[in-house]
Amino acid sequence: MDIIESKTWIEWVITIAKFAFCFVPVLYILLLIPMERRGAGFMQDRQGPNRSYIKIPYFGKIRLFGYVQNMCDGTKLFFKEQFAPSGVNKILFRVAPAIPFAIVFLSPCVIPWFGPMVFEWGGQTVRIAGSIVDSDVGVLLLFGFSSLSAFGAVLAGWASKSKYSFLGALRTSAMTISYEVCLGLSLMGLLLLVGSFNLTDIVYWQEHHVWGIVAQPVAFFCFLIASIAETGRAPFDVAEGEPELVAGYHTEYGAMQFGLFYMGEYSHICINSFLIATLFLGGYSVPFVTTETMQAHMGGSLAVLCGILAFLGLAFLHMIYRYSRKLKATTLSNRFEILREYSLYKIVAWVAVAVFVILGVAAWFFYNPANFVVNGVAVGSLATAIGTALIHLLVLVVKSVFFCWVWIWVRWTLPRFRYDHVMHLGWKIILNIALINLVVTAVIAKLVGGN
Amino acid sequence: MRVIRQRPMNWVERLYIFECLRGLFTTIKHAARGLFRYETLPTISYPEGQPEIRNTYRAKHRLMLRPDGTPRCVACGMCAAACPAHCIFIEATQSDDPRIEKRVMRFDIDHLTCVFCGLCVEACPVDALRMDTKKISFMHRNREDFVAHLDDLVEWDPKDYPDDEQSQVAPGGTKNAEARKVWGMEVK
Amino acid sequence: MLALIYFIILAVIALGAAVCVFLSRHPLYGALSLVTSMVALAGIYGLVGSPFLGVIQIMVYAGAIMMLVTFVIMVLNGARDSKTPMFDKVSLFVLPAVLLLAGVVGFAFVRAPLAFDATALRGSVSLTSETLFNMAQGGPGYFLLFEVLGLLLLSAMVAAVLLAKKRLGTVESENTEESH
Repeated sequence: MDIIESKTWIEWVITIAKFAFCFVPVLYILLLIPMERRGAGFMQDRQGPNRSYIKIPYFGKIRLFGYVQNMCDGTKLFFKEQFAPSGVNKILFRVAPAIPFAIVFLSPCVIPWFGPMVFEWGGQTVRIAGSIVDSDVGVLLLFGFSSLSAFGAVLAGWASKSKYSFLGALRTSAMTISYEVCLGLSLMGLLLLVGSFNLTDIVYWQEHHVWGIVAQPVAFFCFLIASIAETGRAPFDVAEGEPELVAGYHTEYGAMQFGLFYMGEYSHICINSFLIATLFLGGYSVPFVTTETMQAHMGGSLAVLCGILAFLGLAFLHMIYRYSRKLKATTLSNRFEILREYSLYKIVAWVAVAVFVILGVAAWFFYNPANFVVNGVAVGSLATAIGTALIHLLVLVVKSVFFCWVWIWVRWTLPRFRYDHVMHLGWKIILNIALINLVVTAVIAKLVGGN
Repeated sequence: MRVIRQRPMNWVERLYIFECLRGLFTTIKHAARGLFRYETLPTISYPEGQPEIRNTYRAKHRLMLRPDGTPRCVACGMCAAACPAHCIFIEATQSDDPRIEKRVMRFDIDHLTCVFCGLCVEACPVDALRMDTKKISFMHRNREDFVAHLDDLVEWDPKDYPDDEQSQVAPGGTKNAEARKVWGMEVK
Repeated sequence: MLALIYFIILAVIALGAAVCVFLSRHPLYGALSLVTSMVALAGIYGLVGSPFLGVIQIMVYAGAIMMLVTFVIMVLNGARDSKTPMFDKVSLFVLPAVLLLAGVVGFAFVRAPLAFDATALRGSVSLTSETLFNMAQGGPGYFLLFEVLGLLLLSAMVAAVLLAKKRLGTVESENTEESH
């Protein structure tokens, strides 16, 4: 195959390794579920689930701040009986939960996880795009996939032969279609400024001009609201609103079939938060620092990164030490057990801080790779490219985690909309604001840019 | 009939988005409290940390004792009559003390039926029954064990009730010796 | 070579789903087969170098319009139609037409054998927009036509809303979906 020989082996390795990013939404589920449950607890002045533990020698019960709850939930869902009520449409009932979850693996393909890697290898300049598929139609592909994922809910509702599920399905389909329109239209202003559907181009434009949230604040809010509505989360979860429809389209589901819907919903949140971070918050770009500057001072950048990580480790340690001190003063009968558990965290955190400090100092003093410019593009070694990609990836992850938090935050704050209010908001308010925003942006862009 | 008219919302409130932001600010404050001031959360992690219970709390019952160690109960049956849940079962027998008519032979309280209303305590004419033991957890293997018998009800330590005079009169209490003198008579 | 393999896979899926559309007795299964067919077709569009067309196919047809079709089938209680015979009088007209179409397509294949260059971009975003809106060279493009088409769809939508309103009386109709 000539297509295989046309690239060097390192290019192939990185290209194939990039497919690992398909699993990012699934990994985010592991992050989002504890974040949601503990976060919800904290917002309501509760503690949230924190009792499940793993027992290890010497340190005793390791609770990982409630993180172990994930494994318990997952295990429970996996080993429950797969149950289908009589009268359901068997094939569709089984297939429906898989649809949203399968699409989850496709959606991350177009998100640029890091800037294009440009490096020198074997005497030639290699350029590798940051997304798995560097497509011209990136954003549209994502929209298409997310509109397809609503089929899962619709089919589930229809196949369940239950009135509640059915109503939930109808609501889902109507809401998905309405908010797809708002989603697309609110984005158009930004696309007009950038002049491309390609997400890498959008990020590049933001890196060299301003972030999308500054250029298009109205569009940002419209897009945020529309994409919250599209994931079907509160305050727009009319499709599964428990006071009206028992659990909406997944009323009849249990065990891992329900789990697939659950995971599909969380992955959808992950994808949408990555999308918002990419479109409006500069994606992988580091604030106030261009990629060129970063690559020119690779050692310094890595040192700063290590410094930030070490600082986070120290902050974590401060919290642990502070809480240990408070814990010692209480009369909890298991306080020594907890302190024993915390000693493990202390050890791990101190080791991590030490490693980060050493790495940072080493990077600052000893790592200064040479860059050279080929055709106006800074080209470094493979190590520089990988370092840049790492920093980009971490920055993107931080931004997207923030938006995941926004999802949770909004869910546990705002009351649910009534169904007709949702439609009213979508068609009569957000759509019109987005249209006006588009027109105003077009006029201003024409006047200023003359393009 | 009084009709209270709500203040009409002004235009900022009707825009909804600003009120949303205010609500979001409120919840983030609470979330930050949970994250950075975890120990101030009002939740008690129960079996390890016990809640503070005042002595007016209606917990498990106990039978007060005379200075000589017999229950103060005169088996009048007032508490059983007052009990709305019919969970008190009393059998009386002749008292050994000539000054007193009856004593209890059997005094059972079924804690599975008990509603902890405290009416039995109010009804008792001789202050024999109290609910200030602060024992709030009832854990047993079978239903029969939830029925507290006489020997269970009189089994309490005066040292746990240092401020209560009546409890100190019982054997083992600080005022037992002088109370015994006043009581005068040694039964048995 | 690789592209040809993909093409054959996608074509088999698309054709198989298309056959399922008219073989399935239940309208919902037909609609789902149509969705599958459209997604496969979008894959073929992407394969022959017009990703924009493919994505629009997924977004508009598979995502929005087929969603509406499923919606309608579900609301109209399509389950009753599952007893319809596979062949009836209409098939007398449909089958010859299908055979004729197959013959024409086969003839076209024979005349111009299947060979395409997957690397060449045909329908990328910029090419599509140039074809549609480029007024600089060679006339006004399809700009005017495009706008008139949009106006036509809009008027059709307004008419549909009006008709629905007349039928339903004062109840406001929700049938105002976007026509792309």
